[in-house]
Amino acid sequence: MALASRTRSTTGRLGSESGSATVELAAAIPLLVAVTLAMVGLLGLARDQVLAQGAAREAAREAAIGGDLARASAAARAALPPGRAAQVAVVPDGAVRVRASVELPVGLPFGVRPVVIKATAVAARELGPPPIPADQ
Amino acid sequence: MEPPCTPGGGARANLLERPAERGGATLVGLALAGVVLMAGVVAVDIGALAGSRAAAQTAADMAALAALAPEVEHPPQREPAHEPPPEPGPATDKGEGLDVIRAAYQAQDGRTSRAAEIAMANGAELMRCDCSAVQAVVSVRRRVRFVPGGLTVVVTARARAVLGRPPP
Repeated sequence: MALASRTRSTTGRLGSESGSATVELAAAIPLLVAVTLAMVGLLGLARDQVLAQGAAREAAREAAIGGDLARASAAARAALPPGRAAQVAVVPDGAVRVRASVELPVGLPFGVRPVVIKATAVAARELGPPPIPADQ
Repeated sequence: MEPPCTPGGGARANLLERPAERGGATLVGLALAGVVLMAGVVAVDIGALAGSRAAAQTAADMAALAALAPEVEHPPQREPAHEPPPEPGPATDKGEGLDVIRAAYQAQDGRTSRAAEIAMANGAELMRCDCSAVQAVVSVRRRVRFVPGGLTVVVTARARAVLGRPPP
């Protein structure tokens, strides 16, 4: 008799916890989606860092071979995807070097404040004839 | 009154008191949290590696170009025009040969030091510079510190620059 009642109560507990793992797993799915989006955002940041570095390299190279600031900025913007806003600064770094910096604002998901990715490249000035103007 | 325990009865009772899914959700949650944490750390590290690799490649490219660029700050000094040319002879030829070798070594040192300087300005360290007057092959390295535990990884990059024929 006592064994029968214990079995009944155990069965009732089992019924109340049955499927709890499934329920909690279902509740965790939004978390998984959020984390996946965050990781995609992080990889996008890495991609933008590579893009900014390439743009800084192009600007530094253009400035090193004698191009002016406008040409260097244009070279940097040409290395970025179309429509991507960026700030490009090219300054002389001593007598024989030029330094190009690119600041690329990147938007993040979930309303997180945008971050600014910075990349810098330094190149040695090269002597030689001035570059051919862009309109020729 | 409790019935006496039989050899098989205890095990049966334990099985009945331990439902199959009790604690399963906690384990799943812990595993999920671990996977999420690991994935986040791996994503951050991959991003750091990619950015550092791009920066190292930039440093290598600029260093190789700098190794071939003519020196601007300290142009090579020429002999004064009023000095008479040295007398030809075996001893002078030997001296001239030594001078040529010395000048070549100095030029090689100058190219290497320019490449090292530009690599350092780009945040990298020059590992090797096989630089001649017409070609420069440069290898640089850059250290990346991973997020967990401060594990440091060295990223290397290599670049080659060749002096082209001047336009007619």
